[in-house]
Amino acid sequence: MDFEDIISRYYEDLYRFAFSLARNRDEASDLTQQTYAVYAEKGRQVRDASKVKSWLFTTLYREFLRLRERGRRLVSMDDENTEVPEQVAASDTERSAEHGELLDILTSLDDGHREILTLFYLQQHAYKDIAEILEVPIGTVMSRLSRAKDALRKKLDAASQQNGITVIPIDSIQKRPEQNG
Amino acid sequence: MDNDRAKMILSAYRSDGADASDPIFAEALAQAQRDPELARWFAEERALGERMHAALQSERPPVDLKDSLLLAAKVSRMPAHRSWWARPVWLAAAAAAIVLFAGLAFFALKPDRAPMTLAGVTSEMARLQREDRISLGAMTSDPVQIQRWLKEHDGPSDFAAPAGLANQMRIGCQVLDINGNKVSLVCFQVGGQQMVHLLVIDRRRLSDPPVVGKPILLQEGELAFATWTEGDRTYVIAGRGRAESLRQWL
Repeated sequence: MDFEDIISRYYEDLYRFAFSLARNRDEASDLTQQTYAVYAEKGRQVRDASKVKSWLFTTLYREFLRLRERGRRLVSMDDENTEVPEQVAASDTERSAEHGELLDILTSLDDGHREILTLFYLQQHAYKDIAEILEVPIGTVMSRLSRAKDALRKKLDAASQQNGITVIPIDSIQKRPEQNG
Repeated sequence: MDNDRAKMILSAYRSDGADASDPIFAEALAQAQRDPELARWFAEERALGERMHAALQSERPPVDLKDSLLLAAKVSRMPAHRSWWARPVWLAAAAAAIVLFAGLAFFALKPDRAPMTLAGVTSEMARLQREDRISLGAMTSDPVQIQRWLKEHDGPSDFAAPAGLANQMRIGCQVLDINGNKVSLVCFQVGGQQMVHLLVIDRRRLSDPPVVGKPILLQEGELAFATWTEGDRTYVIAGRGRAESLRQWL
C-alpha cells in the first residue's frame, strides 16, 4: 500500500473517530491531517502492513491526548465559536433524524465511554486492536465496553421517553411475520 | 459461564460478525444459542450495533479533506528506504560526531548567516518543488496552530496572509533553512488539486528585498513567483503556471 492508498482507505473512519473525540468538525479534520503528517514522518517504523490501521488510530488518539494535555481544550460542538462548515451542513441534511440523534447521544457520553464505543461501532477494530489503540488490557476493553453500552442505553431510553418514542422490543419485531402469517 | 459473564464477553462481539472465528467468543456464542434470554439480549445488542454503525457512517468528512490529504502527501513524501548506514544507531553516532565537531568549530570559527538574495530564495524554492523535497512539518488548516508551530521552530510567525489567500484553505507549514536563515512556508490549497506556497522572510536577511508597495512577478520555467515587502517582512508566493495568475492571491 502506498501513502495515497492509506489515505483513501482509512481517512473517513479516522475522521469519524477524531470527530467523536473532539466533538468538533474542524478539529477532527486537523487531527486527521496531523495523523497523516506523523505517518509521513514515522510511518517507516510500521514494518507490518496489517498494523498500519491500528497505528494510525493509535497515533490519532495520542495526538488528541497530547493536544488536550497542552491545555488546548478542544471546544465542544455547542460552543458559540463553532461554526458548522457548509459542506458538513449539507451532509447533515442528508442524514436521517435517527442517525443524527444517535450521534448526538454518542457524543454526549463521557470521554472514556465515547472513545471506546466509537472504535467499537466503527467495526474496524477487534477488541484486541481497541486495547492496543487505547493502551489498556484486553479485559479492560470488555468491561469498559459493557459499562459504556449501559451508559449509552440509559441515554437512549431517556431520549426515547423525552421524545415520546416507544422502544419496540426486538423480539416483537421478530415475531411479526409469524403473527401476520 | 453465567449470563453476566457471557454478556460482558459478547459486548465486544462486532455486529457484522467479523469476530465469528475468534475462539474467545465461542463459549459465549454457544450459550446464546441455548439460552433464550441471552439470545434476546444478544439480538438487541447486535441491532443496536448496526444502528450505531450506520449513524457513525452518516458523519461524512468535509468534501475537501481527502484532496487536502492527497495534496499534502505529495509535498510530504514518505522517507525512502534507508540503507544500513542511515539507520538510527548510525545516524545517532554520526549526529553525535557532528554535534561535537560543531561545538569545537563554534569556538574556532565565528558562525555567520549569509544574507539571501531574492533570486537565491526563488531558485531554492524552485529546486525544492522540482525535486519534491518540500515536506510539511505540521499539517493543519488552523492559522493559529500554524503560527504557533512556526514560532516554536524559529520561523517568522507574526505575519498576515495576503487578502487573496486569507480565506483559502491551509494545508500545513514548514520552516526552511536557506543559507542559515529561517524562512516560514505555509501551504495553501487553492481549489481542487492546486497548491500555492507562501514564504515569509525577515526582510533584513535579504540583500535585495522588493520595494514596499510594489509587488514583483517572476517566472522561472513552469514556476511562478509573486513577491513584495510589507513592514519587516518580505513575502513570496510560489505556484505553478503563469506569473500573472498569481495576482489573484495578492
